[in-house]
Amino acid sequence: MAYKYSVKANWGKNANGDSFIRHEDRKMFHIEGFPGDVWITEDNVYGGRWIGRVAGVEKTKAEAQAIVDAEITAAQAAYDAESDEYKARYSRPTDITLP
Amino acid sequence: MAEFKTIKGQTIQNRTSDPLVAGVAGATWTSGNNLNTSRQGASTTGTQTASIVGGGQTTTPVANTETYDGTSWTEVNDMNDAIGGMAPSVRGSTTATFAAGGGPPGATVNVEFWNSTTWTEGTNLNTETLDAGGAGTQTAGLVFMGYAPSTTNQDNTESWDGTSWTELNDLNNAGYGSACIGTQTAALATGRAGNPTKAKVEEWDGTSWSNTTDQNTGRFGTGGAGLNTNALIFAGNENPGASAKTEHWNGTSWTELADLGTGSPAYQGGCGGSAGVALRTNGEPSPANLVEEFTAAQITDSIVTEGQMFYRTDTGDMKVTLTDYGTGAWESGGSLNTARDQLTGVGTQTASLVFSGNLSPGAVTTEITESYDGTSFTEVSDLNTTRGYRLGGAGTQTAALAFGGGSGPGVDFDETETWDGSSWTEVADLNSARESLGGAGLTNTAAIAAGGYDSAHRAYTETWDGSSWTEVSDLNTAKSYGTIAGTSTSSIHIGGYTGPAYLAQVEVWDGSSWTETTDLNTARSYLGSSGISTSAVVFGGYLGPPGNTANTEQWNGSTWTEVANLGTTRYGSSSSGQSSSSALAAGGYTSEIVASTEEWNIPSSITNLTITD
Repeated sequence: MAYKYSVKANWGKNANGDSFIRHEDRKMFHIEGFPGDVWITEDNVYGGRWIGRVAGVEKTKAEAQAIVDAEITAAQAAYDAESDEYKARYSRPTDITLP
Repeated sequence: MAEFKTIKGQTIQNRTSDPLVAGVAGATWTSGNNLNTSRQGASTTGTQTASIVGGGQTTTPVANTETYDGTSWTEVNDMNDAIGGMAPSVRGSTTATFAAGGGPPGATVNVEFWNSTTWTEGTNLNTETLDAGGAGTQTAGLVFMGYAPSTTNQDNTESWDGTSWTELNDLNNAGYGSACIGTQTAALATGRAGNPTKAKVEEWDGTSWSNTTDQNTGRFGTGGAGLNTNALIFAGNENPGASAKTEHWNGTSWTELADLGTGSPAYQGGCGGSAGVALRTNGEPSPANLVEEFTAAQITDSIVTEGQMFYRTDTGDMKVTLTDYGTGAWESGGSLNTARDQLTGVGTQTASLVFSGNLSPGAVTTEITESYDGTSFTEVSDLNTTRGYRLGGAGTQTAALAFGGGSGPGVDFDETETWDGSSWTEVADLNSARESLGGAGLTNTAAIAAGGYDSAHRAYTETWDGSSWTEVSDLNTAKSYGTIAGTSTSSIHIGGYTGPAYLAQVEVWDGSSWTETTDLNTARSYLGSSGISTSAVVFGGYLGPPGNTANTEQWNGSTWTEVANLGTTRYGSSSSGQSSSSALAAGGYTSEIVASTEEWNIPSSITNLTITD
């Protein structure tokens, strides 16, 4: 499956009750969020339409991966600074490779 | 003369949204409004449109509390202690709930009660804990399992009656990070932390915990919603890695539903809501404020009807509601108790009966019968006549028919037996004793037997009416080791062997005669099949030297298409199934006789598709 890559902060629901991602979006194309406000959307007309609707900024796969990597690195550093008790109970954030 | 409707045409419905698939199977996650304060490990309760989130941890524990009205989060009074990992009273509400235990640092016995405006310190737990599970209400609550540095994983259960906490029977499996589901007297403890991360699920009946069906994916910190007979779990820590998975519990088994996806996989989910309406409120890999809402179609929503067409006035799309088929694939099923090949199967993939077979290449045959429930095989009553060499079969797991077969060179059977769900009974014989024949039929009162071998390959065809066999028109080609899909009045005979040749030949039976139709792509014998005369799938088989095949082909009534291969190349397996989208291949011969099985599934969903040029 081919994807488009974009970046946009998830606004949740706006004052009009409009969701960042609607049920009908989920039914029309694959969409998945990653750290750093990175989104992958199925490369079809509906995925493209969604990026336009939310005013997302399109990225190349390499650019999107770099954003995700930076977020994960920061999260791993935060984890490494946690107490041993915390580390005993939670696993270290793992690297993510974008599809 | 033209009819009015021909001139006028059809009326197409105008819509501004797509109709929805009924039930949780059609539900999806969408964006909710984000929390004001990013956090993880918060105590969450309520519903999708009336929720409360208290405490949790950013880089340090926080006391913030927020309430949700379905659209936005509002800051309300803080908890008395800045603390995370507290078990909520999940059947609580924005006006009455509790949060129990919590940490870090350490674990506590702390309990706070929310009364719609403020948190009040309440009676402490008996045992310190954090990341415990919670159930029930503010006046009838339950807290179970958890973690403390001093005891590590816990199996404790404490019950709250509005006045005091009472220790009750322990869980069977200690841990922490269960989803919060159910009531004080009927709760569910789901997967918990362990190594490996446990998928273990236990049910609470008000007195004791009992193990029940494991969830599909082991994880902890899972969000939960619903009751112990109808619940959702979502998100969690799969250790390593955050989960986006959602599973539905129907009181008996777990089913995968739509993943989270509007934020990211989450190490922790929130609790609250019903099985059709849930709320995720915790994010990862670092503390986050992402909120997602899981909503199934409601009674007031328009539900999809297959075949309906409509026009979306908002997008300009003409759309139609159709069943959308995915890509079929084989996956491993439960193993036979007794490895064998040239056995026979009837019924469906999840309710199958397999019987007879060859136990070794030396032609030791068997009367063994096994019943499959979609997970495992159970031995049931044996056939009266020991035999193998691919006898014919028809019917279901509880009403089957077995006919013909053999037990070695020159020993062929005409015996027919019926299965009533508990035992086999001998009934009227075939007119012609033979082995390696094809057999089909959806019931044990209407079946067809075609082809086979005695001293030669045969074209014989006989039909069964529930009491006797009648000779009818022969196949066009005498052959054995083919397979039949369909019924006594409409079926296809596929492949086979004539002596010198392995066949790609396919013949269609219309209830009175056989007609040749489109050949298979790959000629073979000893193959399996599932389906009917216009929609079938065939799999595996023997190609002649040098050997066997994993090849699978799908029939649409006019052509054969190659689809995903079996995981293990084999021939002589049983074949159970009554459709092209679901089948069971059990046993057979690879480089040896095997007990392994494989299940064929083509996923499908009802989808609103846009009509394009």
